[in-house]
Formats: sequence, C-alpha cells, structure tokens
Amino acid sequence: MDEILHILRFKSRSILMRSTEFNAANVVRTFGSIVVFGGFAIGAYYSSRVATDYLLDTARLGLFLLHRFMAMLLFVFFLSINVGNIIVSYATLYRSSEMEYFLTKPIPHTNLFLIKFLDNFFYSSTAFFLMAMAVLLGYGSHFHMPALFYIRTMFLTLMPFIFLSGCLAAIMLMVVMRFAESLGVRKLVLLLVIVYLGGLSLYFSMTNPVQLQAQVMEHFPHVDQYFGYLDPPVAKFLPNHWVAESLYWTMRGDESHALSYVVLLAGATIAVFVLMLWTAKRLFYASWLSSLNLRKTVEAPGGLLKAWSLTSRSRFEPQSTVLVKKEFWQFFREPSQWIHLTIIAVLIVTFISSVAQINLRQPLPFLQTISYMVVLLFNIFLIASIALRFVFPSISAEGMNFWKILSAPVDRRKLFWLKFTLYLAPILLTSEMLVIFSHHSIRNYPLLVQLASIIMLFASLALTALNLGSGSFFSTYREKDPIRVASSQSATLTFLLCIVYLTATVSCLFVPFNGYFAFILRAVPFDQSTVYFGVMLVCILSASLCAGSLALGLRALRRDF
Amino acid sequence: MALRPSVFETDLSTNFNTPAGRESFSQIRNTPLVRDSKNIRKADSITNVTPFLAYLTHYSKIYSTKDPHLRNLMIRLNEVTKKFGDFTAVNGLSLEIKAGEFFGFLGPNGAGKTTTIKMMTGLFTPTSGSIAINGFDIGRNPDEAKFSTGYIPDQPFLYEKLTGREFLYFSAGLYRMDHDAATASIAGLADLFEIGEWIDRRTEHYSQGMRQRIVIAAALLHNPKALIIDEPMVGLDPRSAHIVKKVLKQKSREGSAVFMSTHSLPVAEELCDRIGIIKNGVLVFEDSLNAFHDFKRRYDGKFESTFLELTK
Repeated sequence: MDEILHILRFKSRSILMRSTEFNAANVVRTFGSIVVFGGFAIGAYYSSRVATDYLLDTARLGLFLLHRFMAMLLFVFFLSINVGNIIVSYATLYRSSEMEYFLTKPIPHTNLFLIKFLDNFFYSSTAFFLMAMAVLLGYGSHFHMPALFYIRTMFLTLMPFIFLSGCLAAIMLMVVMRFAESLGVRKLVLLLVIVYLGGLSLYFSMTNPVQLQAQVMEHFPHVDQYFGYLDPPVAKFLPNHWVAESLYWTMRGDESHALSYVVLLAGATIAVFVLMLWTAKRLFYASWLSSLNLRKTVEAPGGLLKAWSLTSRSRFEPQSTVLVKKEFWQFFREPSQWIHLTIIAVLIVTFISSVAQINLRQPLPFLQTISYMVVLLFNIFLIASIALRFVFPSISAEGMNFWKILSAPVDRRKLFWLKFTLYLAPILLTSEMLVIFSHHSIRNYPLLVQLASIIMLFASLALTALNLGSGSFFSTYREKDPIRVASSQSATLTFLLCIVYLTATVSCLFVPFNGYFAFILRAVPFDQSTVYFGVMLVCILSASLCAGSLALGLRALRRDF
Repeated sequence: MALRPSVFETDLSTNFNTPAGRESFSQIRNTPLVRDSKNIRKADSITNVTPFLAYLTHYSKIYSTKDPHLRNLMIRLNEVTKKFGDFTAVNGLSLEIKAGEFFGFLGPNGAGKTTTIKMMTGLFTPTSGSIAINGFDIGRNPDEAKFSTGYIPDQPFLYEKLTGREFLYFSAGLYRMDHDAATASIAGLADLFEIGEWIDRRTEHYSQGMRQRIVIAAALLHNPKALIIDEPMVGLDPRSAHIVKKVLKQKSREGSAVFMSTHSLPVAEELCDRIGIIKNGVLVFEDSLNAFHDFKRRYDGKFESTFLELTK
C-alpha cells in the first residue's frame, strides 16, 4: 500500500506541476477546457431538467416508466464507460513506457496494475463524472431534492456504478490480452464487438420500451405505482436496474427500499473489484508478456493490401507514395486507432440508419426549421468529433520518429497537404452520406439537399483544416497514445473552436431557413436569395477558417523539432 | 516523370575537379529531362525539376569558380548561433569540412553538439549565421542540401509500426529513389550490417543496437555526399561497431565528408582526420588530428586528459 501511495503522490505532483505551470498557452488551454466542460455540464443540466419536467408534467409518464427509461439510458452509459475504459486501459496498461519502467522495479504486479488502473479510470471517467453530476442535478431539481441527496447519489450510487463498469472493462481486457496471442487479436476484437452489439440488441428486445409503455399506461393515471412484475427477469441482475430502482424508491420516499439497492450495488462493486485484483494477480503480468509477443507477430500484407505494402513497386512519385503508405500502415497497425475507428464506424452506421428513419417534416415553419437545423447541426457535430479524434493527433502521431521526414528532402508543405487530403477524403465522404440519409424524409425539397451538401462540404474542409492546423500547433511528439492527444487540453480548446464555428453556422442559417420553410409551408412571401446569402456566409466563414488553420499549421510545422 | 536516382548518384558522387567529373557534368546537362521541354512540363515542377535545375545552376557556379577550396567544400558553417530564449546553445560557430574529410566533433554534455547537428540537418533553424551542405544553404535550399546528406541521430527513433525493411523502403522513397535502386541498395546494406534475420520484424521489437543499424543503413541508402552523425556507436555490439567504423571510413575514402559527434575519444582518435572541440557553444579547438597529437604531447601525452583540460 505504501508504494502505491508513494507512486500516486509523485504522479499527482507531476500532473499538478505540469498543469499549474503559468504560461500563456496553459492559461488559454485551461480557459478553453473550463468553457467546454462548463458548457457541456450546463447543457446536460438543462437537458435533464427539461426532459424530466416534460416526461412527468407534460407527457405524464409516471415515476415507474421514467425510471425504467432511465435504466435503459444507464445501460448504454454503462457500456460506453466500459468500452472507453477498455480502449484507454489498453494504452496505459500494455503500451506505456511507464509500465515497462515500473515492471523493472521491485513492486508487486498487482500494485502496478492498480496504480495504472486508477490513473486510467480517473483519466477516462472524469468527463463521465461531470456529466453524471450535471444530469443528476437536473433530475433532482425537478423533485426539489436536498443537497444530501446529490452527495449520497453521486458517491454511493453513480460512482460505484461507473467504477463497476471500469473494473469489468479491466477484467475483460486482461482476459482478451491473455488469449489474444493464441486466438488472434482481430478475431477477439470482432467477437467483442459482436458481443456488445448483441448484448445491446438483446437488452432492448427484452425490455421492449414500447410494449412496457403500453402496459403501464393501461393503469393511467396510477402510473407512479410499482410495476416490477413487468420487468424481464434478467434485468433485475443488472447494475443499471439497481441504480434506477434506488432512485425510484427515493422519489417515492421509501428510503429502506432505496438503500437495499444501494447496498446491492456497493456489494457487487466490491466483489467485482476484488475479482479484478484476483484476475490481475493471476493474469496481468502474463497478459502483459503476451502483449509483447503479440506485437512481435507481423501480419504480412496480403491480397489487395499487398499493393499498399511499402516494399511493393508503385507507379506513382516515390516520395508521396511512401508518405501515404506510411500513414496508412501507421494508422491501421495501431490498435487504439483501428479499434476506435471500428467503434466510430459502427456508431456512424447506427446514426445514419436512425437518422434515415426520422421524419423531418413538421407542420409549423418554426418547428420545421428547428428540426432541420438540429439534424444539420448533429451532422456537423459528428464530423467535428471524428476530426478531433483522428485528425487532431495526426501530426503528433509522427512522434519522435519525425526526425526522419524532417531531415529528408521533403517539403513540409507537401507533407501537410498530403495529410490534409488523406483525412479530408473519408470525412467528406461521411459528411455527404449524412446529407443523403438525413434528408431522406425531405428529399422532395432538392434545394435543401443541394444546400446541405454544399454546407457539409465547406464544414468538412473547415473542421479538417482546423483540427490539422491546431494539432500541428499543439503537437506533442513525446506522447505515443493518440487517444491522450485527442483528449488533451489543447484538443478541448480546438473542440471549443469547433463549437464556436457551429454556433456561427447556425446564426448564419437560422433566419433564412426559417423564411424558406415559412414560404413552403405557409406561402409567406420570401426572397430565396437570402438563403443563398446565408449559405454563402457559411462558405466564406468556413473557407476563412480553413485557410487560417492551414496557415497556422504550416507555420507550426516549420518550428524547431 | 520521376528523376532517376542514378542521375543524382552520378551527380552526387562526382568530383568536378577531375576530367571525368567534367565529363559527368556535361552528361547531366544533356539528360533528356533538361533538354526535353515536354518532359519538364510533365514532371512535377516542385518535386523534381526545381531541385534538379537548382542543382545544375549550383554546379555550374561551383565549376566556374577558380577557388579549388570552394569546389571541394562539402559542409560549411558560417558564424552559426542558436539561442533558446536567453540561453545561447551555439555561439558563432564556423567550420569547413571538405569532401573526403572525416571530422570528429567532441565536447562535454550540453556543449552544443546535438544542437549544431540538428541545425545542419534542418531540424533546428539557426538564430543567425548560415549552413551550407554541398554548397546549398540549408535554410534557402533545404531539399537540395538534404539530398546530399545522410543523417544518423543520437536516438534511433523509428516508426514502430513498420518493419525494418519497410522503414528502409520508406527512407528510400523520401530521397525519391526508384524501387529497383532501393531494392538493390537495401539488399547490399542488409548484408553489410547483417540485419537480414530480423529485417522483417516490426521495429518496435528491436533492441537499441538493431535500431541503430537500421538507422545507419537508412542514412547510407541514397549514397550521400555528406554524412552527419550523432553518437553512432551507442548501443552497438563490438562486431557491429567494427562494421560501422569500417563503413564510415570507407565512405570517407570514397569522397564523402563525414561529420561525427562522439563522446568516445578512442573512436575519434581511430577515425578522424580532423577534430573540433566545442564547449559552452564555442569551438575551443579545431585542427587536424596530428596537430592535436602535437598539442597533447606538449600537455601530458594523453588524449583524455588533454580533452578534459580543454573542456574544463
């Protein structure tokens, strides 16, 4: 225990010294982080408050259904934390040079595991804690709950819930790493994706929210009473269910019932934590050694990929060819990159298939404008998130190996443009697919589809350039983990700029589009050129942001290495 | 149309003071790439033609000069200063290294050796002064200067997700070598440095010595006229160190200028024709190894104690 505290003390001190260093860049980054996280927290608080008010006061859903829907959201939340922890834990437990260093010291492996687990857990779950607290405040304020409720729920219910998810993630990761050597890491990851998607689908088919709502509503207006007999038996064993039950009984004023679920959750969390330590004792070092062997197995590119091999002949200009191929292999051989890409691809497909089902048609012009702008904003927001995750770390990903390119006769502008083009192409493709699918229900307004297509084209250009330029400006070549780069304070600041850009885009488009919809739905006289003018403003704004960001990035690339 | 490295190789390895060199120069001038305006238009103007024409212009200038010293000069540092904020890492450093010369750059830790090397390879920009490699200013004509340079850094960082062979092909591509030339060169260097056994493993599993050998091989791939080396023997086993020393000496004999920073006094004594000692960013000694031997005889006859005295 002493050595754990000793190491944690020095790690905290190092983090504290780094983050409290007073210079302009740090001040800007900290300010950016506060604004972004503060903005998200306020947004989460208001959304939660408005949703709770709406569901209970307007839709009159009743306490039981509200908490069952909360259980469903908590299930998704649990899985998100779980997947997030698996990805970050892989980098911190198996890939960090710090772990290699610690393993040479006379410290039990379980202690080392615990130190890195806590480091990783708090790193990857801080944002979740913040969001959970904000949502809890919004939810509790509807019921005018006292301060003690928030403290108790946060520390005795939500924190154990998040911690339980993190522990399960670590156990799964160790098991996967232990057996990846014999079974193949790609097969295991594919299996995990199938298990997660299958689990999600099974859960929702079992709980069947539509059927549940119909069954509960048969008892209207007595919808606050307990309908636990409608729950599927398996759901009662899930931690999300316990959290929802504890909140339900608290709101009903039955503290003893609520406490029983809190105790159940705490007991399960402690049990899983002990199981994780036991697994770590048995598997961690063995799985760490397996991960070394795993890295030694090189899959020679075959089939179509053979042409992409760096050792293959190419008809194209050699310098650009090797730079592109290097970028490709560096990306797809880095597990934290391709695993995250796979997950994001699944999410995009889910988003696209969901958005294609949404009927954007609304009877009132204002509502129509709101619904249209929300979908357009979501599309741009998704592109901004993808760019932040993959484009922002792309210059830092060159790492300390960058000396090879910088000392070779390679024009740095060429390298920069190559990266820009390489990342822009898939982002542009995704954004145009989003336009096509999200406009499915309003496809008979071709003007809207064309304008959205132009807006997304410029948004893709601006957001790719912004993330590349900013990533170049804030490059950290010593950081090996792209996820850490993408979640750094500099990345948060870049995301803040993306949100400012989004706000500016809405400001340019809202009034003209509202006029356009009023013309279509209510035949209100309207000058169509105002829509073109709004879109043109967005294009000019995007082009300026694109040019400025690229200039900044190029300038930063000329700095001393 | 990509510029064939064979043209460059002829160009780079030619001494233009000799009749053969003049003949070679006229051959380059008459290559189809220069004569055929269609080909020039077809070629990528930024990546191929500009450096090539700059090369020809440059050599025609050097060829026309009557100063034999200038014709033979491969590395030139002129009053180079590098400051990091208030701290001056290198202060008014001037050096000239001729083709075929092996220059040892010595100095204690933090003296400014790596900073100097990073400026010579374009990784740092000098605060003032200029650096020319093969007559090309690294600031104004970085690509042309870098074509003539092979750089071996002190820390052999490699792209970890690539295999050794892929890294070598990657390096060859950066110098615009075509596939056949790269394959031949890689095969030769793999034999020379005995890296064939593990060349197809990812570099993330390499030991320091393996990485170092790959980095040295990558630096020699394009047959550079100037080799800039920072601590080449770190992590090498005696056999590999012996091979590396032999190869470097051979390159120097073939006409390449070798600029080597090292902490190893025996290595400097064994390989170098001329040495420079830097202390606090200032060159405190610069002369031939024989002159250094005279100097040390006047002191106590030992390389180490003379070095310690000079850098005290």
